[in-house]
Amino acid sequence: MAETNQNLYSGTFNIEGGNFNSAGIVSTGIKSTLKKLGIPSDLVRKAAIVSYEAEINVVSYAKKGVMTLTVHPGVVCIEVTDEGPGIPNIDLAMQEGYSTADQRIREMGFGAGMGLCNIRNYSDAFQIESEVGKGTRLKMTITTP
Amino acid sequence: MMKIEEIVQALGLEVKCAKDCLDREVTGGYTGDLLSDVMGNSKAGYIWITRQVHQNIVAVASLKEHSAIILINSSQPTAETMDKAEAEKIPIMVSDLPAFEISGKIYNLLTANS
Amino acid sequence: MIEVAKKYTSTDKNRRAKQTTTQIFPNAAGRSDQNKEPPLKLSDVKEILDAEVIVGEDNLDLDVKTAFGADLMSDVLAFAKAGSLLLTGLTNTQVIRTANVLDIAAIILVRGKKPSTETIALARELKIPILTTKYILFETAGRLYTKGIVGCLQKVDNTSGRN
Repeated sequence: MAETNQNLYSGTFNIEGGNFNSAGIVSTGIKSTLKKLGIPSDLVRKAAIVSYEAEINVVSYAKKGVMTLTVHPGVVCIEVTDEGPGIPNIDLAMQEGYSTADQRIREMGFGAGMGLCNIRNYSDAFQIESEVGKGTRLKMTITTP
Repeated sequence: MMKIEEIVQALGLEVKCAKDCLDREVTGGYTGDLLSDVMGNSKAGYIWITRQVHQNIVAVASLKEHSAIILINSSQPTAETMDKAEAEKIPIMVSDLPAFEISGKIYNLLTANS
Repeated sequence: MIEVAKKYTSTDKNRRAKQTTTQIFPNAAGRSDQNKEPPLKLSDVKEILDAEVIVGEDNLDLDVKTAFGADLMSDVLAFAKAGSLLLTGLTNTQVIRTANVLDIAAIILVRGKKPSTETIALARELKIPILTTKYILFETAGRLYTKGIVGCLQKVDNTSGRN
């Protein structure tokens, strides 16, 4: 019988800041990895949404970032650490509709101040830490109900 | 053609501001969230359906002489948006429906009453 | 853009005349003749919207029941259900990525928008059909709604993650 803390998968992926053509490649890969592991589709969907929004944030604001995926039975954990400008006021950034996005990001269909809210709402546990001038770290955990 | 008031009643919309401007005729509809698109392609008298709540929507609606704005998915206008809409006399209504559904219903109301 | 009021043929007019009495009630608003019950096929959608198939000529027998219209991808990510049609005016590769993340059935580009070659290549790779219609989003939604396609809202109410 499998241990409940058995590690089914762990992987680390680099995200290139500013490259909108490749934005989404990492989360698309995460989605197909989770599917192959036989993770329930509801979990896959949530993990895909949070990783995609987080990836878009790194591409939009940071120089570069790293996304780590760890999978245990019934638990998907995604961590994103970037080297970016950091968020001066996290409470403000978490407010739906608040955005510092430029026109280019908005024309991609993002930057409407919904990304972090989507990430929070689709995660079962969510942590955000940020240091101005250094970068931002997000940790999202999604579990089977 | 229909008046804003008739659409409000038929669809049970919540009117947030410019309540005294509901007798305008609605000549058509435009659904969109990109302000530059709406600026470029919508027409006077149209009712604009969007999920953007920023005060810039009032400037667009006013410049394009839209009959009204409908916010979808129960999106609430910001305080600045409300103030500006009141000043510019642009009615803002809120619906709990998504864009597809509210557009579908209004399209049918307009074609039925044309 | 064409005003909806001017776009109707005489058969549509006859149909509307019969319907008028019921149409003032919110829930009855405008579901006209549904001789074809949903799910519709993607090929029906193509016909209803007079659309051109850009990717997915082989997938036109796909069933569709729901649709989501938006130009904000975060809005789509927050609300759209798997298996829905995505109606949008955006044509960049992120539309395809978003559709992939959510298992969207097919993308309908409105206002006669044509996707870039990168977008087309990615859609082929991820096997996501793209159709393009000359109608604006409002009218595209209207025409599909009339044929029985419904909106979708899948709101995940997950407050346990709030700090």
